[in-house]
Amino acid sequence: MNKVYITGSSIICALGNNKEDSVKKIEQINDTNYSNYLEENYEDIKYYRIKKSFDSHKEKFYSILKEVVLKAIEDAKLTQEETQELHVFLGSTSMSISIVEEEHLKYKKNLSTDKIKHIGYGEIGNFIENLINSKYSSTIVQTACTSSVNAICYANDLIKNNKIKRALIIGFEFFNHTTYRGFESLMLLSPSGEYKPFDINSDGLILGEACSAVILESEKKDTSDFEILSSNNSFDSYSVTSSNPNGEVSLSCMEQALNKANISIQNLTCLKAHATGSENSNLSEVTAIDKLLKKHNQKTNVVILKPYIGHTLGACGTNEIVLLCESIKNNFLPKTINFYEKYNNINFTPLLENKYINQATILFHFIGFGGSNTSIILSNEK
Amino acid sequence: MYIQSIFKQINGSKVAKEYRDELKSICNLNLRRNSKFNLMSILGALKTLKDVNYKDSLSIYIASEYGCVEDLLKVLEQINSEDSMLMPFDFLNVNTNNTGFLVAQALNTFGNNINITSEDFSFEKSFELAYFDFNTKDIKEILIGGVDESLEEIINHNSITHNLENAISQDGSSWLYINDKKENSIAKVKAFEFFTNLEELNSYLKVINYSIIGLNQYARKYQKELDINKDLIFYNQNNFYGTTSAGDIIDILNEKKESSIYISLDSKKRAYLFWFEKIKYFLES
Repeated sequence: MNKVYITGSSIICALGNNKEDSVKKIEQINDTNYSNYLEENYEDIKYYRIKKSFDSHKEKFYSILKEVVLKAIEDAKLTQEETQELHVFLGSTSMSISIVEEEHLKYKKNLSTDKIKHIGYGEIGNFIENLINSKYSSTIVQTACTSSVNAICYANDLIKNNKIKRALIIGFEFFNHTTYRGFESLMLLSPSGEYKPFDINSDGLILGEACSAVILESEKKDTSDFEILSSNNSFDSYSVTSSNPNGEVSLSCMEQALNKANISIQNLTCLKAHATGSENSNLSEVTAIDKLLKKHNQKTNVVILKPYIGHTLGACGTNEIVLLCESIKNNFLPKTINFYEKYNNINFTPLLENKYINQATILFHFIGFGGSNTSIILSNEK
Repeated sequence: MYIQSIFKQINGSKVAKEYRDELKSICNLNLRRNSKFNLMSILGALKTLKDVNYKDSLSIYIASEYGCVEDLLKVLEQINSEDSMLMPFDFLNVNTNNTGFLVAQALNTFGNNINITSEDFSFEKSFELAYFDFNTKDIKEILIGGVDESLEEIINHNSITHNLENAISQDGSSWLYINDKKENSIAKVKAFEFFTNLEELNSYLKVINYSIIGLNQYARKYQKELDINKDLIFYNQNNFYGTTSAGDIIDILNEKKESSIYISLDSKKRAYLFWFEKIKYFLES
């Protein structure tokens, strides 16, 4: 079995237009200046925006995808030949619906004769293949909020088993009315506009847009590169939109990932929770993590990232992996912002102050609509 | 890897209600507000496994080239009309990734499910993941479907999708149930390969034996460049829909031939090759 490392990455999100700026911003944000940060983000609606201007959704979509992909390849220092050998995997919830909406609006305003100009999402993969001149056809994974992390898991398994040499995984989520109004119709959005997942007073989630990419290879490029130790998927059949409040599926998913990596909780530097902020998902995941820690009578730091970039849905896998790994490479484990009061009968409290470290073993957990649970363990400890 | 059960339903465009009515007798779920895409998927999955004693750990792989089309148009109207509200069920219906949940719920299974798409290769990519999982993980029961709605209601559909032969776009839901038991199986999956170009494919074709060949639309377009015996080409029934390969493969598996191959190409002449060995035919004859 090959080992698999993240040898390159990039991100554009509400925090910044590259990973260096994004990580710096994470370090700067605290509970005192958090409301100012939110004000910078919120325009007409409570939403974490990418700070770049474009003339159309189409231009935004493809420009950002292109920039993120090329920066990740540059970061991994791939040669032209190695770039062509990349297998492409994409994960997203809303895919290119922002473009489909825009084109439909032109039709409604009699500026176009076609009601719809795109059917299906295969052309997004085709765009990336052409951009990097890849020899291989791309794979687009649709498992809701676990889409991009599942794309990483699949690519990781293929490299481990020597089926492919290297992979490019892209997570993307761009503002669109369908998603925003869809979540609004499900009454999952925070009316207060204060994102505080795992706080007992959390009143919902706040969406965000971001795009990120990681390069996976079987050889390390840098001593600080993170290795993928294990991954696991589990299915929660409780409900399309929420997890079983007993948390058992999430608990089992995280335990199986630990077993596969042959490590215990005490070997973890932290557990990065999915932490959406919606009532049912919060309760379920908080219960699962509490059960995990109590069952094994061990502790670890619990880290929550969504208050920094919003819930970026199918892209949150690559986004949160890039942000957390890069923060650690920049010598700190990020604190949870805007957390004040934990749930009753729950013992753990998320990490509330930055911890200064430069290597870590991390259990990432993600949960998606449709019952999808994914845990993945990464480490750059020597 | 043995194919135990197959099911293909390809027909002209039907409204969601017709599929919902058909489901009423075989499914207890309340599917009143579900999309046509979800209904077609659930119907196909249930019919494939009607007489199969499957385990609840079954893994489900759903391929779709176009996703949920009818409900997407409905949602676009709601989004781009000032006097219209987006309803929760309509939003959930356009999230194609929820289909796997509903199929699992209808089948009462707890294995993982995943939706895959890829330009011209959606079914092939789903099969590739299922094949990999079967051969490298503890996953020994697999249900793979290719589901797509007809695009006939969309006037310009031929200009925005790949319909090389200008065929009528149909509703299609085609499924394969696969496990590791040879007994009573329809066929063995002898090989499943990907080739980055036709030279690689042709080299492989020289060293394998087969008695029937199925081709997707790009393979038919470029068949002169394929190193195959043209007399063995099987001309499928009128299967054209988003994930046609799934229906085509079921057709060749229904033929009484010792071994069969199915070649899928895309516009860049990359290729997937399925190689099947018939099992049930020999037991019967």
